[in-house]
Amino acid sequence: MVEKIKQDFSLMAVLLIPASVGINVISGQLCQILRLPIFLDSIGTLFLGILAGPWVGALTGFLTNAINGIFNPVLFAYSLTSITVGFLAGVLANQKMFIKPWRIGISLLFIVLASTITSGLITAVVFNGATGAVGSIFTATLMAAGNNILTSVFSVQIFQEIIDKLLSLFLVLSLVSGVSNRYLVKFKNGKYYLH
Amino acid sequence: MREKFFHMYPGTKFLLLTFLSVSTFLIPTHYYGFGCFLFYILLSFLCGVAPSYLKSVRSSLVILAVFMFVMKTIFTKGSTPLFTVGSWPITMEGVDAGLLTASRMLCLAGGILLFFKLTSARDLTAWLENLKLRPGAVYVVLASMQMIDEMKKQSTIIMDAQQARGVEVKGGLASRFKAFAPLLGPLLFSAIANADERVLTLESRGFSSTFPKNRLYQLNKKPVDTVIAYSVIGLLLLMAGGRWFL
Repeated sequence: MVEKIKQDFSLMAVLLIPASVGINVISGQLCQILRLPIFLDSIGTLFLGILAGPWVGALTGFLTNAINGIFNPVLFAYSLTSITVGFLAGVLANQKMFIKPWRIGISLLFIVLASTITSGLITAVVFNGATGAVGSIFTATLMAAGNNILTSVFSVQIFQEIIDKLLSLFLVLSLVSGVSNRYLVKFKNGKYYLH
Repeated sequence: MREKFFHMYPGTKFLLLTFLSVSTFLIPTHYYGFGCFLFYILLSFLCGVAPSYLKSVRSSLVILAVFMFVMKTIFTKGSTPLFTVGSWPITMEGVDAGLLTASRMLCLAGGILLFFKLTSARDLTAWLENLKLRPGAVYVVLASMQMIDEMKKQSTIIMDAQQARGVEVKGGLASRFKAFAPLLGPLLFSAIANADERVLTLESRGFSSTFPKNRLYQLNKKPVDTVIAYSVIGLLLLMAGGRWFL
């Protein structure tokens, strides 16, 4: 098991982790500045998860939230969501689930469900629905209308996650299709995307 | 003062700042958290890093602290109403909870931010290697933090280049959002090309070699660092014990 994990961490993948974390942080900050109700902070995580495998994706997700957490400690709590998204993307990519459109649709469904459940539970249990993000305003409105905290949080979360992950996955798969074959062959799952 | 703090062993600096950050969660008053935050600002002035520290604090922490204060105040129910905003009653208990949350966030995040301002990348690398972390892991952690600033500069260059090619990057929300994809592609592809070159460079310098390596820059712990470390941990345990039993 340890040998398999070590194989995922080729030097190319290791050297791309900081760049992917950088892209996650910049995209996330852009959405925060524009006050958008989505995050777009998992583009790098999905990219590396799909190409280099689940463990690299999970680490990229964790590091993104760890670094973002320096400026916004709330985001550190969502490391579990990023780890889940990165890990799941890698597992699905290992099963060639990003090659055909219907498989991409199923993968998107799994990723949205996983991130909704993890983020929703963290928002509801750890922060009581109030994280300071734009979505908290919608959650507060639903709770003021008489809904319980879990219903309010998950209703807002699934809506955000569908748009966020759909956009992120679309961007990532466009980027993967644009990477030259010369670089794709250096990744564990790059062989599935050669053109 | 500046030299003393900059050249202090990074582990000791980390422990001291972490002690202040964590202790704010053990002391149930917002005065302690705000007091620690003011201490960080004073320390940044004494060490000569105040301009960059205050800029980071202003652009991220203060706005976040205000937002968290408002959200916590609105969401906390209490029995002493002060006034109403829309359909949300603002209570004394809510304001107290909001101030406590904001002070804790400022203390925690301010401490971590100050640590990175007071510690050079060279010292951080040497400290992490002293902790017996693998060189690859040390590189990943440090490069991740440095890459953000580098990528921000690169993204500005790419946006200017794309604008010269006719991509609309200024304007309303929709146009800025549409400019996002043309920005992301070159950013990622240039990162992949750089990573490929770096792999060749590192391999030619024996990065993946399992033989022991000699280091040009040595960072050694002094006896006083050990004394400070044990004192800080002891104090933290005393505070935790006092909070638990009292």
